[in-house]
Amino acid sequence: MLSFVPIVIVVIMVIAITSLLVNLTKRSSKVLFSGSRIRWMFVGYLSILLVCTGLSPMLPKGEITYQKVDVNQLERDSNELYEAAIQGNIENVDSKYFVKTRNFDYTEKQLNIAVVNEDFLSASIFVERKTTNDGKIEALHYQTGSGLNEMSISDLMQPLGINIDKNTLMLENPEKIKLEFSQFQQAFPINQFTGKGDFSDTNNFYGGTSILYLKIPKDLELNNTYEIDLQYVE
Amino acid sequence: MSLSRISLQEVVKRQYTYKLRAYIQVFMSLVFIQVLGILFSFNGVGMMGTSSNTFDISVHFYSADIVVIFTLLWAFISAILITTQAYRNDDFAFITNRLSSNLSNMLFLLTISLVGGLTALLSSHIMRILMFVLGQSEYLYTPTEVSEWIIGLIATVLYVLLFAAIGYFVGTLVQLHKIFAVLLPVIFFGILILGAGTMNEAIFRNVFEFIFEESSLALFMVKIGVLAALLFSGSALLSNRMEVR
Repeated sequence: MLSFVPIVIVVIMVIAITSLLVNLTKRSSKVLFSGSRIRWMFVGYLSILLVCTGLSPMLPKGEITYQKVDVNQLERDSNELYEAAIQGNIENVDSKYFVKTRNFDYTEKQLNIAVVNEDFLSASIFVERKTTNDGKIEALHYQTGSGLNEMSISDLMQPLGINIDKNTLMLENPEKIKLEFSQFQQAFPINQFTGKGDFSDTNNFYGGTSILYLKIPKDLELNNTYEIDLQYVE
Repeated sequence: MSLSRISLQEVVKRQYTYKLRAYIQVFMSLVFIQVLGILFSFNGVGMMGTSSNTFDISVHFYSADIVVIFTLLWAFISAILITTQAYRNDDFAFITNRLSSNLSNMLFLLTISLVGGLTALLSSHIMRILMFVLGQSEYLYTPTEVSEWIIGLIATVLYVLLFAAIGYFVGTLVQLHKIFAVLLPVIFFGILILGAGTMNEAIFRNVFEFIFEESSLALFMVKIGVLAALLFSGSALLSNRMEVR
């Protein structure tokens, strides 16, 4: 029964608009506007349309707030960083990916890993065992840029929270950044033939890669829950 | 016996120029309906989002869809109106026959389709600018390519023409017998409401897909061209059966 409601609303609207159109178009004894007035009104409307058509390509394209970026480049950056992490030479990557480093003195045999605010960590964790037991843990955080279309939104990204509390490495996801935009879509007669229309058809979003690189003493045992995936660097 | 003989072409031309001036109210209602459409469009036509580990991005969509739909409705109703008695009798001020009257009506409907389609498409730019000025969230720019422009113009004009042709046919049917004035809306809304969940769905969807989901512009042009020609010639044949005046 409820499914009728939208149809009924549409029907009522169509009837209302129809009667409005009929009344506007119908020739009655009392004419609302004379012929020449209508002509001027129409010419006026048409000129507004044409002026706006001329102006609309000049609208700013978001570069005021955001720097320009090439999303494909971001993807390449991301791959580069990931490869470097797997191969264990993350320290040789471009310094622009480096976010922060934390050093801890830790002499226990075991270390638990926990994510504080969610089940999953937004960064991938790579672990490199040092050749000695020097009693030091180094945590390095790297991140590549994020972009939406040609706008760089990397500056909004926050670093991970990294801390050691007793014998647990506490990791904290940065707060999710909410962004709201409005966008103009082409009308349906255009999308029908160009096949565009969805967000993904008209937008190019790339969320950057975040990597936490841990350097731990040779014999330290790491305890993690199954949600936290550790990749050991050979 | 008349002293002067005028060719059909000449009669049609005269009637057409007369109609452009006499039916000028049609253009006022066009402006009115499109402004209304622009106002209604401010609410947006949809919303979509994407997210990554660190971002939640939501985008509100705006488009000229509502204006285009209103314009289709306008073409449909305007076409019905010019088949009504008050308008039809205008033609008898000229030397006329059914053929010239129908031809000049078709030319007039073609003209308003061009005007309606063009203005509906252009209205999107007013909306872009208003949205930029009044909008509260950041504006994502989408460029319009020239090819999209041409496609849009052809497709929108053809849509408007199709609805005008349907309106003209419906109007002629109603002039033929008043019972159609009741019968046609009942059939249409009956299918719309009942067909939503029953066996009619397939037919309804086929008709919908035939027009609204055709992805080749060339095929679309042929389809609309044939449909409009059928509807117009159907109307012309039907109106020949009417009594004089």
